[in-house]
Amino acid sequence: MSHKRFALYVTANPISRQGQLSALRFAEAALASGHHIARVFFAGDAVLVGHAELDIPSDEPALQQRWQTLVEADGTELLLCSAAAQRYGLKADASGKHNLAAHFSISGLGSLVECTLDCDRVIHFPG
Amino acid sequence: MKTQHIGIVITRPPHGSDSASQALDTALACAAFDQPVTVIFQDDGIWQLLPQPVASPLGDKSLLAQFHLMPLYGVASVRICQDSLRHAGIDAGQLALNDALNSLAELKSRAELSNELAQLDQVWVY
Repeated sequence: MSHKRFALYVTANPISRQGQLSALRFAEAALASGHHIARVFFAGDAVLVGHAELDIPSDEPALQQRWQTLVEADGTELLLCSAAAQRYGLKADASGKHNLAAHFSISGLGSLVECTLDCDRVIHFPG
Repeated sequence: MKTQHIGIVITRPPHGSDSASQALDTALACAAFDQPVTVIFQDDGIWQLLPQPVASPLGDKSLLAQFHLMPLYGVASVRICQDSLRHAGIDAGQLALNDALNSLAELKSRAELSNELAQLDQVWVY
């Protein structure tokens, strides 16, 4: 079986919708089967998962931490859409206002286009 | 250069969520990066193309003027679902298309759209 390079396009709110957890479960299952998750592009409400000060109760799914684990396991890039990040006040600047969680970075919609060009499949998790 | 034909399917009405705004941003970005893009209005998405007052009574922002820019930004094709129009009791003549969008947009049945979607490399539904 040939192993594939996947990109995930996640637009689901991490707190109030199922989509982001489904994306994560897909990613973990793909990795367990020997595939690669090259990149995850978060847009719209989904970018909130990259906020450094998320404070999720310990008995609820630890989405942010599980995305970060993916980076350590497979070198996955976690990219937050710059337009959405700006609206939500997520900042990566060096002026002391940095509020991104580790391993997340901000990137333009061009990265989503790049995903379609350099990965075998792009899977959208909308809601 | 390798290209990917991207389908953006708009299924939500103009008010209540920013789903169509995300769809539009993504469509314009993909077109700006020289990818062929097909934008499809179907189900409640067709309401996006009806005439809207400049100042929305709900206080949200109308996207109609931006939809009119799709041809200018190089969106390759625009499809409007004929069956969705019929179900909503809307005549194609009621749609607020400017000249550029009017010449780009084509009415298609749901069956025809389904065939077209099957030909695309990526399909994202909003």
